[in-house]
Amino acid sequence: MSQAVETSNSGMSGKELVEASRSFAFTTKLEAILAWGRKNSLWPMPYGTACCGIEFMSVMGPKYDIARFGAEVVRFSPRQADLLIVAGTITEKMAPILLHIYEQMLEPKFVISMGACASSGGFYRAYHVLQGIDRIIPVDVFVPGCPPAPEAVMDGVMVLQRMIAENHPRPWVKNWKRPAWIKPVG
Amino acid sequence: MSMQNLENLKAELSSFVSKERFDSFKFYVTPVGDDVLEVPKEDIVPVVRFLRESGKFDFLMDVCGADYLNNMQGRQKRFDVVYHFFSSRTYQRLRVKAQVGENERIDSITSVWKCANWFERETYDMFGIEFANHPYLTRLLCHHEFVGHPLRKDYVADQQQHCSSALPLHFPPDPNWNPEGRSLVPLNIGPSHPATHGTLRIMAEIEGETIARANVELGYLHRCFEKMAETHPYNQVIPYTDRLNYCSAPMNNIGYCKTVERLLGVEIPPKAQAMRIILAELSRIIDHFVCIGANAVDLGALSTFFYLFTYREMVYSLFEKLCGARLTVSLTRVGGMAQDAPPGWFDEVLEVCKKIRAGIDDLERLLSGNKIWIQRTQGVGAISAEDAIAWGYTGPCLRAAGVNLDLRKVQPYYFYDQLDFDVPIGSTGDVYDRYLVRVAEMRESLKIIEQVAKNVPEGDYTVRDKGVVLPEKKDVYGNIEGLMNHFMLIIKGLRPPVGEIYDVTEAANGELGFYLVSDGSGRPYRLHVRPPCFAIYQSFPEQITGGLVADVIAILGSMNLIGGELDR
Amino acid sequence: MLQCTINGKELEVKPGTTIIEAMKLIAHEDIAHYCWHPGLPVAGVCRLCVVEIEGNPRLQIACNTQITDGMKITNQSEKVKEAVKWGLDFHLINHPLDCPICDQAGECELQNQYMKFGKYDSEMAEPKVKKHKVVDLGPRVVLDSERCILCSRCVRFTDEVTKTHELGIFNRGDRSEIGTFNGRPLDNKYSLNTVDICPVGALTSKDFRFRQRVWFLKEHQTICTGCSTGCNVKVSYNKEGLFRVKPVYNEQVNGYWMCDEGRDVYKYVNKPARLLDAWMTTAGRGEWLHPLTAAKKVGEFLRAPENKGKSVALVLTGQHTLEEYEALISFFKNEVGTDRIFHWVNNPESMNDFDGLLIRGDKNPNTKGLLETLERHGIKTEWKELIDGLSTGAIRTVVVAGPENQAVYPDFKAKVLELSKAQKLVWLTACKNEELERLQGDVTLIPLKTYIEKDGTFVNYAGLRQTVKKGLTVVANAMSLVEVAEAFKGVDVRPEEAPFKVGVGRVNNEATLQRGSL
Repeated sequence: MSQAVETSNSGMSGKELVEASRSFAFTTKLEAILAWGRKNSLWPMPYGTACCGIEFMSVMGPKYDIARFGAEVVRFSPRQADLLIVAGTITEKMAPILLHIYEQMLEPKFVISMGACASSGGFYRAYHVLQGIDRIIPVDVFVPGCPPAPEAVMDGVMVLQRMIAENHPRPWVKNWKRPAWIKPVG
Repeated sequence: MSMQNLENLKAELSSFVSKERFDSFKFYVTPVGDDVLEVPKEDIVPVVRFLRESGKFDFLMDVCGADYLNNMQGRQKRFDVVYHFFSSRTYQRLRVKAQVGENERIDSITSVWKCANWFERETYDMFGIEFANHPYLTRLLCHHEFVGHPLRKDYVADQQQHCSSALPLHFPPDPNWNPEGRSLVPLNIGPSHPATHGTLRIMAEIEGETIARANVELGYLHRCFEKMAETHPYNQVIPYTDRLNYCSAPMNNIGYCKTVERLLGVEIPPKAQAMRIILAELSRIIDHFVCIGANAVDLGALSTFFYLFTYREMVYSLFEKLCGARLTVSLTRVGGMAQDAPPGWFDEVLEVCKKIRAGIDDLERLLSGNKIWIQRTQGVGAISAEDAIAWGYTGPCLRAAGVNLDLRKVQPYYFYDQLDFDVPIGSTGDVYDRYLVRVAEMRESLKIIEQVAKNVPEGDYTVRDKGVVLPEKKDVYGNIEGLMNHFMLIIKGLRPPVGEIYDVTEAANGELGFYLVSDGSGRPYRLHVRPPCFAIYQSFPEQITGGLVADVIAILGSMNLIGGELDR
Repeated sequence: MLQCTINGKELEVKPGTTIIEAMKLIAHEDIAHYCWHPGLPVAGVCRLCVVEIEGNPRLQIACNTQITDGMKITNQSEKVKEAVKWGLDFHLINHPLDCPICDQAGECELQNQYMKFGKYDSEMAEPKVKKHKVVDLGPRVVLDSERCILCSRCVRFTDEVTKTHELGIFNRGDRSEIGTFNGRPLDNKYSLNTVDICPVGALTSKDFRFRQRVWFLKEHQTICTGCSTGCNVKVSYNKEGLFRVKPVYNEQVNGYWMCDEGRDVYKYVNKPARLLDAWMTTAGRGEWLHPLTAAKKVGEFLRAPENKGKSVALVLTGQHTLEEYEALISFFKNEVGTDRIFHWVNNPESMNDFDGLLIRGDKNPNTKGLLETLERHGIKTEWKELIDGLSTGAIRTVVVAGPENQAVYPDFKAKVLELSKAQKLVWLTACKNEELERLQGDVTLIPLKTYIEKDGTFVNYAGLRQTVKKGLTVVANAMSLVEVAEAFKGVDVRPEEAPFKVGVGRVNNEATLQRGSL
């Protein structure tokens, strides 16, 4: 008997995911235009905790300049951002706060997990490190690396843009259940 | 030399404590040259008070614990509490150890040195050792719902424990605090806040614009470095050290490898020393870039940030040419460097230095004479030299307060003593002085790099001791001896002799110390990092109390707090 | 007694002791050697154990030089170190670069002794001699001639210990190879000992090849439960299960060796072979239960006044520990009130066989212990009584403490059929079995702990008591018979688990935890 890992994925098998993805298309031109607008103006909220945070600063810097992708305005308030980039290790202490921030964001919202630590705990298989943010929030794009090269981060943003443009189904968001162990903020 | 110091200490202490107490003290010098004094736990406060009041030592550098559960030969009690002292007059160091059993308490030394506060809290958090008379003994790094003490040997490293909520605003108990009749507004800054560099939480109660009282919460980036070090062979700990002060990753690598090499008794070849010096100084420069850049951004000066990151990218390209990685480089190995510099690398370093010099000039033109900058930073966060020493400040923040203490001059390692460079000192210790000290230090670092890069010694980039360093690939794939050597080093790991050591380097933030205990196996038995910004941050609540809210951000930025180093 | 000085240490030895015996077994000094083995006759072919003896201009080999009174011996002088270094170099001249695919990596004497006594740079530039790789020597052993350093330990083993003479050295010079003769493979019952004594990866076990790297394995010392000899062995395991069994030196019982049948005793301990939960059929429907629940239910049944007494029979095999027998037999005698306790003998004809070395015909580790306990409680029964009782209906409940090593019970199926005639059958066993699972009627199966998961004492054929200690837990919630007896009484037992549980945690590199220089 294998241990079930708590993730906030839908728990669908690969086959089911492929089936679900067949039925995507934009039914109206209006939706397509909205998707174009959304993907080209992703306002990131950099949730930078550790080394990936510094690398994200490079991505925002002049050499790699993520502003050309529309992610010009970096908003530090979740109410004003639509792309949460979790850059860095999330510890158990930080997990309730990350969830709180995610819940404060308004729809439509996207999550990029930047770096190995955010995606899976990285090489910190330790008592205080959350083994991947997908245990508490639904993640759209995982960018591997330790830290990922800025080009990889931009590739991650481009993948997300493609997903938005194609109206890719997001069963991990649809079937997301709020993790039971984190108390709702009263 | 050390023996003489110990003899003097012995003589003075014998006249200070009673004969029966003195007989239970143990004085010795470890094989690597550290002075150690072992005292029973009942005598710790009098001895520590004597060390301070006699003027022998003015710095309490570090307090940590060690668990000898599976290693009890020759010991009576399970835990060790280890104190490290330093004197800024005579540049001597002393390690004081006290054995504490399970469920026993030891007196806190916060009455003698106020900077022991957080160090003892951390020891309590990690080991469960209770300090009697500590003003606020609660967990520091692990979350408040954590059960158990993780650095104990019977705590399994990957036994995760979830946390269900964040703590509400809390402050250490203060008998003099009287909120009667005051209109206090609680203010919580962080941990998810642009100006708190990601993982710091500042809790304050403000009256108007002034801070009435403040407290900070740490541990939002506690990644269990010390436990990971205990579960990995020595060379595999190096990537973990990268992520301590991730803005200047090579310096952590160098600090750690230097510690292990000293314990092993290995001296690295001159070329490796030269490369390490160059990398250390380059890291110092880019660390100061991030510090000044982030500090400026927090106060509204966005252009400096972009300017400085351009130069940071240039240095990243240098690192990339050396090892392939930009930020977390793992450039050193125990015994030398991971690989040799590619041809032409040193010339490129000189080229980049020229550009960085121009960049620092630009920076000074932008900030040093800038009225807004001066108004925001001058007079803000000033600290006196005595206070700085009492808190355990080291590095640019200490030098800005006027204390001439730079480990590269005072306890030189590699060939810093043959290089020509100055140590910039400030006068008031405020944020503006720290900025100026950092800028001047960057120029001095450029001087050092240029001196070394113009005269790089010939030779190997690593020691060729087969018990320590992996053989070259041509031998690993070419003959059976190299292959066997490689296998044995990877399977069993390199083995320093049984012993302990505390070694320091002058990192970008100050004294980065590693306390390493080896039990003769392929993994460190106990590795403790003395983070420079930990001591500096401890003074933060006191610094900002009575000041304006806007000054909080300015002071925070000037302390250069890196989460990886602070929380480990 | 003779006096001698070894590396500055003074020693007293018996006459006839060779230098290497004194150095290794008495003074515990390090000396390079390959061909010497304390359980085999001396060959002196590797030339690595050279020592310098005062008064002797040339270096002498320690394995074949007897100590004389007043000898001063050293192996730390420069001359010896040079000679050992060159000896190692010559041994490695044709050695293939097989470490990544060789099973011996991690316990290879070439690797260990290179780090201790060699550490030189190789100057060998010639191409290496190619020999046969993956030679099938027999049903259990594979040979790789390129790795062989021709220490001849295996040849001496088959010549002197098993006396079967299957191995020999063929060809000459640097083309020499170990081999077997035409039509006579290496198939004696002790062939895997050659794999143990081979210092390099030339001889490897077909069973263990490529299954696990040795630095991921921990070892636990215990007793082999394959037969009544009770050889001392150590079992290698990690979180994925047990992997192999190797002998441990015991002067009284097995010397340096063990037989090949005992090598398989780890197989029935691993999870795939085990019964993981209790199975109980009630009213024609079966369900899986927690073992403690099932045991308590059985206990209630047995202690109920209409069920206790002489209608209950207990069948025991010689496979459990003394403590378990004591607990179970006491329970049945005192609480249940029956003395119908039968000894299931699996092979009465070959019980007293002995092949001259180690293998005995009684394939149970603790027959003597069982007989002792039965005698102590004054129980004398014949198997016929059980059969008669079952057919007449005098015996309605049968509790069987079944064999854990089912491979050595050829009559298992027959006995299951016989015993299933009971109205209620309770079978306590560690391993699962198809016959048992196909049984209809009122059947309860309760999983037991194997010898490696419990503390206990085994008594071997000669009456020697040997204790085993808990090493690891493979099946959580399995119980030992002591715990079963307590559960039968109605006590809420928590089946004790060893600190190491198979299936939990990560596979760890154990080699980095060992202390001492490389």
